[in-house]
Amino acid sequence: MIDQPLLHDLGMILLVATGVTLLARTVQIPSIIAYILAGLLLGPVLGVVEISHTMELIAEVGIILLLFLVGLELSLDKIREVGKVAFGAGLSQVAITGAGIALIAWMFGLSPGDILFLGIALTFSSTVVVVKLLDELRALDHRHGRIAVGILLVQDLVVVIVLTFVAGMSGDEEMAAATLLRDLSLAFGGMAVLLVSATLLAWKALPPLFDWMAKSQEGLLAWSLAWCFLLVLGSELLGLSLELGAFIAGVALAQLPYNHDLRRRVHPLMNFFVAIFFVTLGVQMEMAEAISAWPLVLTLVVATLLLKPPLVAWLVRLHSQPPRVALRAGLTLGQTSEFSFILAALALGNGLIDQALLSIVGAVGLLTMGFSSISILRGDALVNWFDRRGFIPLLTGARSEGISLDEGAEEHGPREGHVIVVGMNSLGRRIVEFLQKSGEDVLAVDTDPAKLAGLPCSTLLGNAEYLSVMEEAGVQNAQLLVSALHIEDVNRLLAYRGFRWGIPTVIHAYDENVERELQGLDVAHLLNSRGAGVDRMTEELARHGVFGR
Amino acid sequence: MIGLTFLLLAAAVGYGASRWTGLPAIPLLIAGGVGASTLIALEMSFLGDVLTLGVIVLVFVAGIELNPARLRGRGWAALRVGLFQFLALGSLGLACTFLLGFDLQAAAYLALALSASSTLVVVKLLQERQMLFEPVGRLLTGVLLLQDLLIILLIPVVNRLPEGWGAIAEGVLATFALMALTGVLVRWVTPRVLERFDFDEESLLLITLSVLFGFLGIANLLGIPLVSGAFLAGVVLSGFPAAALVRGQLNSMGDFFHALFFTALGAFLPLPTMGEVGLALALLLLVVVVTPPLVAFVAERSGFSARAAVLSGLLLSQTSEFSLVVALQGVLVGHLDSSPFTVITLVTVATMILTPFLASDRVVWKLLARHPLRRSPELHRRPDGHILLLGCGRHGQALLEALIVTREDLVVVDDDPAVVDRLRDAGVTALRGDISDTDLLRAVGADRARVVISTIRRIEDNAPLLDLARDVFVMVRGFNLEDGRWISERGGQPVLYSEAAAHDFRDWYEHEWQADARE
Repeated sequence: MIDQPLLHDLGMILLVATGVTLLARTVQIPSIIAYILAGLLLGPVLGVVEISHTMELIAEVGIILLLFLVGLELSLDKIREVGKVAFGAGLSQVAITGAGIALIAWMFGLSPGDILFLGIALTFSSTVVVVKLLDELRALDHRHGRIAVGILLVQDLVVVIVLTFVAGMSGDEEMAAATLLRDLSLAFGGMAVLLVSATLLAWKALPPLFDWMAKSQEGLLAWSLAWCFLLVLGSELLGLSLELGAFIAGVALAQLPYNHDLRRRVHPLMNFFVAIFFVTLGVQMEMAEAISAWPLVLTLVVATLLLKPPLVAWLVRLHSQPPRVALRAGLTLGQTSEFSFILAALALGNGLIDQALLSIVGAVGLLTMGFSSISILRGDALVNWFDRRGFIPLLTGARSEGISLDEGAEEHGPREGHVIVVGMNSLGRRIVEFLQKSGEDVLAVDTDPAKLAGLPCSTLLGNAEYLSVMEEAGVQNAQLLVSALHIEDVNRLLAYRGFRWGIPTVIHAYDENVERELQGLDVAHLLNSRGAGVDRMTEELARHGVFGR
Repeated sequence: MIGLTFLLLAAAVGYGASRWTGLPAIPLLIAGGVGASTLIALEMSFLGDVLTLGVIVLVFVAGIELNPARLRGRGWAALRVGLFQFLALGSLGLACTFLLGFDLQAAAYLALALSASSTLVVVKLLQERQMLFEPVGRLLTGVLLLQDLLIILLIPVVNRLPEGWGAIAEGVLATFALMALTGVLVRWVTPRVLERFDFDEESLLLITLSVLFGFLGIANLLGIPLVSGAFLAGVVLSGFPAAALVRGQLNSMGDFFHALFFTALGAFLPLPTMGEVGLALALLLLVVVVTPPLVAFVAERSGFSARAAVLSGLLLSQTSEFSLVVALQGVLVGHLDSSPFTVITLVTVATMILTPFLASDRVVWKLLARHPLRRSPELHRRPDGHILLLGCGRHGQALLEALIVTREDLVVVDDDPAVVDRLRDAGVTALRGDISDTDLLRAVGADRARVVISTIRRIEDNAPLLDLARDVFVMVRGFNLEDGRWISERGGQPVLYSEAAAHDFRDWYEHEWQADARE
């Protein structure tokens, strides 16, 4: 289509992915599956896209940004809260699932090497899939979401060790053992170095620096991304995974007051890069040999989908978490990881496995990711259904009286009947003060943390142009949306959104041109500051006797 | 990964330096990229990919901002100023570079690069000075949009210059065909699609990027440069509400690729020779010396006050990020060797850095003092004991009528010639001029008036007035509380529009909103 190969491939990927995603939306198939399907279409089926080095880089950036976002969401308190259950359940799940998979592989008569490999490769769950879907559900911050992500990150640590082993398992034995020991100590030492330096910086250096930069939106974004990639590079040099570096970078910035704003701004960027990542997964897939080994593939898929969730739920439940939380965390982890692909490619390269096994691992990964994404997105309904049928004690080992324990008070219901005021200039602040005094529930929104300081109501830091900001402000349930901004494009957009959602709006129309544009959008009241100001002037002049002489 | 990290680090340094020094970010980002390339050898293929993607996104985002509605009736003035500057600098640039021995195509690339001013730099400066929505801000926005469009239209022409007139005509025809398609889409298709469907964020982003790559594909098919395709793809989404909806999704992607593009450009730049630096200096002088008087002349002829005109000239005296696009496009398709590319980058970096200094209030006043055609105020006698109204827009009408009814001696000053003409027709003593001009204030008797009322927008412009009319009752319009403090400290009586509007809100809330709620 385009002569330039990168643009050609990227264009093909985006056009096909968009088409498949929009089609999939109409039958409510999650976008991850749509992306992978688009990839299968472009790669194995049509063969029109090649994965170049830059494309791999783009896919990697997707994973990095995704984990960076997860980190941005987590304050240290939240990490401490789930740390123990994540380690306990994460490690024991890896061991038990690995053994189970090895058992299945043994029953199908695979060689001992292949049994060992499958047991290791398929025991992990997919960080990227789970985080992407939890993010879509806005459940990263819910308790089951945090536990699931915690387990995944613990597993990532195990993966690093495994990858180090596999990478070292070639060449002659003695050399290998020495290298292995060196690499492992490097990995653990590296992690300590990374954690300590990130903590120190996050504690002392980052807050004043980022505060100073916070006024410049694009500057703040550039700094955050530079920080993220610096830690990613650091963790790569130390032999750790990209994910870990990005996650730590995110956690370090999560302690800053504008982490949510930052998160929303990185979000669209991540959506783009991660879409490319999932499509490239599909493109690189080799399906032929997996199809001929379908009984094994099918058994592994069914086992992963049906046995892993209750296992995780049971393990989480052992750490005295509520049964519903445990079950939802379990349902979240019913798939294999994209690591299995990387691991398989590495093992194939080292001559440890053959092409057929690579293909099997790929097929199991794609199928479990696809099915589990449906069960993740429908998690709430599924758990309710189990609840009605009385399956929860069976699935989690909880005694029946424990069931009433729910997800805890942290998930407060959506805000309702409030008034949102955007733009904290003097006008916005006055309106907020007045509404607060009149007994309204007021939410003030601005991009500048300094302007939100000292307001008597709840505040939200963010750019009102972003749909996600308005959603977080609960605009669909608001009784009124007021904009005091001096920015005509944003005002017009807010009026438009209010019009589409049926929320009455009051918009600052400081300019006659703006007024005209707003008239079609059913604005409840135009705040004509210039007209009101001139009236005020006339009154003042009258008071000074100018008209009375 | 190492390359990407270093570019991002260079961008972080560039933005930090920009925040620290107050200079525009683009030249500092490029400098950051130069710095990164001295620290680490970046792969050329990687830089090429980053520059390709970066230039596409940069131009696409610029296309989204191309909205004729922003001109608000300043269209003709913008057309005159923009076209005049573009043609004059373009032909001067072509003559100079051709005489200096460049071949026709290289000279054409250089001339095209010199002919436009930077949207990113000027809009940012206007925003900082809160002048974006003022008449002069609208004029400049219009000029810049027009020039962006002209560059995009001319790149296909320059591209095919060596292939002869037939090829050029073909290129122009193809471009017009794509523009026609763009017109149909932006006028009829985009608004309907958005009316019909409510897209979630992810779908909207995907669709936006599909439009971009779809247009790149068509441009490729028609043999038009990809940057032109990317720009027109942006124009497809430039209407309302498309642009506003898309901006929320594309902002950070634009920022990300801007940062990468300019740093990669810096890293891509070879070390300039003395000859290149000399040529860059000569072209810099051309831009900085020729643009201000030229633009000021045309702007003033189009009805802008001397000060607005001079400021416009100074603000436009730099080359554009599109100059870099032009140069890069030339290098990527193999029409330009690195020498003209280096020269264009040097000129752009230097002129962008100079702009905030050149367009400062001090320089504006210095130039105004030497303005040859500066009109002296046209009053027969110096008024005394009168009411002086400074600034009289549409909203001032009610106030004006109230003042006329008093039958007091009334003098009005406004910088808009149309307003002044209208007032004169109505029999009011009215003058065109700039109220931050002390000579004018003296001539209209600001220090001897009974009352002075200032309704002009930029609060700082009242400083000479408050200084001169210390013993007079001076009422000044302000918006924020800080404005009020500023005015009071200088002895004026502030009337805060934010307070008035908040009062208006209160009235509405108590009398209409709550009444509706009770029903």
